[in-house]
Amino acid sequence: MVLLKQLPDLVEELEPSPDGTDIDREFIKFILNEFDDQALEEALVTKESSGAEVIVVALDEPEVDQVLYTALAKGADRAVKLTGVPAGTWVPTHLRAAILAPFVRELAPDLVLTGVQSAEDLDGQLASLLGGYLDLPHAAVVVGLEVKDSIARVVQELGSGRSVEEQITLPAVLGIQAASQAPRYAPISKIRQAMQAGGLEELEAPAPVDSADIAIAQVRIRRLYAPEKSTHAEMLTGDPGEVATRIAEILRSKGLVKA
Amino acid sequence: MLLRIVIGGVIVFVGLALAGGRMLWLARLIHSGAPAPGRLRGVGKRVWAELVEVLGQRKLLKRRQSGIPHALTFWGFIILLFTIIEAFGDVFARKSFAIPAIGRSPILGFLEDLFAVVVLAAVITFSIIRLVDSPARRERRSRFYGSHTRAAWLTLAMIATVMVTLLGYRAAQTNTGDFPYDSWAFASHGIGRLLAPLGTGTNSVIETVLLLCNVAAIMGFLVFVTYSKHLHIFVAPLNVAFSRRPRALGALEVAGAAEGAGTIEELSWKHLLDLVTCTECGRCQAACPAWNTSKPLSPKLLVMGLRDHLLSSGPRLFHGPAGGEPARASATAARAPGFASTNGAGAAAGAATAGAAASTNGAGAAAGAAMSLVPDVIAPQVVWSCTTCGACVEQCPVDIEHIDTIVDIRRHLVNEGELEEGVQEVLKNIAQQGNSFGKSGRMRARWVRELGFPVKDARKEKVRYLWFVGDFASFDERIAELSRALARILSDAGVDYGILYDGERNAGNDVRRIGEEGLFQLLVEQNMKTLNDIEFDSIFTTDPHSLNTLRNEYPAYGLDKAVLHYTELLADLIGSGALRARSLDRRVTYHDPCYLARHNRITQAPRQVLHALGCEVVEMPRHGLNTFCCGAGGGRIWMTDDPALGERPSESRIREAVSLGVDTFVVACPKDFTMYTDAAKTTGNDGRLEVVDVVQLVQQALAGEPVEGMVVA
Ligand code: SF4
Ligand code: SF4
Repeated sequence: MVLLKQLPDLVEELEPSPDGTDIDREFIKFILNEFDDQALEEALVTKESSGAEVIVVALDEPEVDQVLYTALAKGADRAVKLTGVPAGTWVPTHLRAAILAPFVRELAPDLVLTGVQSAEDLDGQLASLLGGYLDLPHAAVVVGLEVKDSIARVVQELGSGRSVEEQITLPAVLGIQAASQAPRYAPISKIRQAMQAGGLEELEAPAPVDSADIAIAQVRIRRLYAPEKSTHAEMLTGDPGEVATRIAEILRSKGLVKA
Repeated sequence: MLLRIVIGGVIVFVGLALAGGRMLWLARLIHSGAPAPGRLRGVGKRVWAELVEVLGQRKLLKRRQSGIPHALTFWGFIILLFTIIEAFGDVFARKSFAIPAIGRSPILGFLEDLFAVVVLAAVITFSIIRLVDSPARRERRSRFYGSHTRAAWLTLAMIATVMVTLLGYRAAQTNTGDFPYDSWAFASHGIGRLLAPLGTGTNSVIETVLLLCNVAAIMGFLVFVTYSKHLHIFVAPLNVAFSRRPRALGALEVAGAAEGAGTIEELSWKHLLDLVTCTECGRCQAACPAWNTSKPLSPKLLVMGLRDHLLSSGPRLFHGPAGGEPARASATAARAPGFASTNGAGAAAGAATAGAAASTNGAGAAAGAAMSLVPDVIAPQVVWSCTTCGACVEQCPVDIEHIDTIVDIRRHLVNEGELEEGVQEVLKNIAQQGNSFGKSGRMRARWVRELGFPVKDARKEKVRYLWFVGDFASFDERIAELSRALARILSDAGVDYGILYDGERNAGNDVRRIGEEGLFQLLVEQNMKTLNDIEFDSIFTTDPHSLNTLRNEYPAYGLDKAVLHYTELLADLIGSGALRARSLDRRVTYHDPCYLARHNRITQAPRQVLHALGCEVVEMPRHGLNTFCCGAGGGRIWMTDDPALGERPSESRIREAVSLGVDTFVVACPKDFTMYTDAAKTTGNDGRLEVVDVVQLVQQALAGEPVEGMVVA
């Protein structure tokens, strides 16, 4: 099972909404989170090597149909859109996990893949929260996956060039950083064929997990600001000593270091 | 006499059986291709094509040196058909046979002798051409590189044999009293006089022997023809008759299997006929920008590679993938590579072109499962090297439609998701944002902001001209500057025009040529939806690629408006006096964009504008319909150039211009402006040669301010 998530397309000019608590979602385009695309690719690769069924699942978010049909065109077997969920606003990761968890439990897949992170979830919490709700083993920053019987051999990146290889007994939830090959191209004609075939399942989302965490984690946004445009950059030249002195001066003048 | 009939009979029977069997086999092979709709439509223009292209040898005569002797040989063979009738009559009817009614006409006798001599002279000319442009010495630069040269020499030798035996037996006949013609048959009588001293008896023997040799040579040639590239003498007229008229340029043909051609039989039957028609003349190769800049693609080698594969696929196509009856399958297969086996050098050449045409695969593979066209038969780099410039189609004397076949193969690759990652990215951008730059579609008309005056929104009010701006002219900073220049010129001249703002999407010309047919259809639907709702008289574009698809392909989806290039519009404005320019007095050279000149035959308008601006246009050797490609077409602009694969076509072009001694290189295409300003820099000629767009010269002539070539470095 692959969990997909729609994000505002960052080529658009994002602006705070009139009430200032979210970005203005009315006129912007949405695209698939790029890490979810990696997760989908890894799922398709796994399907090809060990013959699984691939189910893609997404919340009813803007322009999500296109994404689900694209997944079908690429070779996913089922595509599910969960309706009756908050749409058109920001869904915090805790809430997303709480919505998805009961559905995942219902279908009981052998393996759940999702992108390691997204522009709205830079900490990459989705995989671990889901694992927590479902009481399943989970791993994040996965860069290698090999499934044999009910064992997954997983390579996780630890940072600074180190990685660890481990074995996880399925079922499990993995946050995928990179698939073993670049996400495949889905020709438009195939996507359109999928659309005409209309294989998209719309299911009512089950009631979210009721957990105290959600309430705690439920962030309330008071105000969003557009980033201030930085006006200039200063190039530091000269020998290393001079440059170092200048850097120290700047830091001091900004009050970032004392002394 | 009986012996003569028996020997002659055997020769003719065996010859006809072999050649006929082969022709039927080939017909079946071609019949196994996918449908090619519309190939019989318009009988009138097809008959006309036969007259002009086949009888008139139009394209061949573009290359005088080989075209004239070829035309003479061709016409000669038509006249010499009479001598074949005479030879058969001599063998089977009676010794002093003459064709009824015309068979003793001095004119026919003269023409027969004349063309026998002319064809011999032509054979000598061909030999010289082949020796001078020898692939062994000139390698890639020879247009015969990779062709079956030994088969070609054999062809020449056989033609010479037919002519020599013909003149020989006719000469002997003048001494035995069997010759139907008087002294107007000058050559026969001339040689006859030399043979006369041998006496009637000897001459009679010579006559019989040479006559039988002549018939044998003709039948031998007939059989050889059906097994070699010389097959074109039979199939070229057919291929021309079924070709796209007036030419296989402009619109792309989307026939064959909907998902493109992954195996040989998924190509349309016309494109299979193309393959067996190729004469290996190499005219296409000599003109191909990819081949000329050391890329792995040669249209000729591509066609030859596909052809060899087609011939070796016979057993599989006829008997199914299992090979049917194995014994027969392999027997046919052994016969099949007749083209290739005539010359080992062909295979060697194939290998030498970095897998340009993966050489014919053995009979074993052919009898088994279907091979994929890419990569089994053709390397992917070959297919992706094509800029769809159309030089090959323009040149090919037998109307082979290379681009359609190449794009058909690409369509299959795209459908399988096998395309360069960068290109995938661009296609996704186009699908999502409607432009290749991956910028928000809402930014499309941002370039007008700096104009300081409003440009009409054609979606809101009626305009006379709809400017279909295109991606480069909208999003590329340097090109947007040119768009603004044009907008100012048009506004000052009082032209009523408007743009679609964010309602415009990429027109899809290159998308289609990459082989992403589904995306092309989507773009057409989106654009047509916008266009159907608005009022305008005609469209103009600065981009020849957008122009091409709007003009030639959108009509199939309902567009019924004239589509102009901005150079045509400017020429009109100057002609009508709406634009008054002062003379610039410059010496310039002009680069014809492929999609303007070859695909759309627009060569005069830009030159008219330049002349009106007081520019002296010095032509490069490759200009007009023979222009050289900048290398950006067919989606190449989004692909990476492998620097190991020689210079870019645009660099070769810049050197060509520099050698003329002009200092201004005029372009009329946004992509060209980018390609050539870059090429001028990379070849170190940016100080010597200034790349300017036509619109900049107009602007300069109007405002009297000096023109800057590189607008923004
Ligand atoms: S279209 Fe141009 S680049 Fe492509 S094969 Fe023909 S000549 Fe070469
Ligand atoms: S494709 Fe046409 S131009 Fe090219 S070699 Fe064959 S016959 Fe000649």
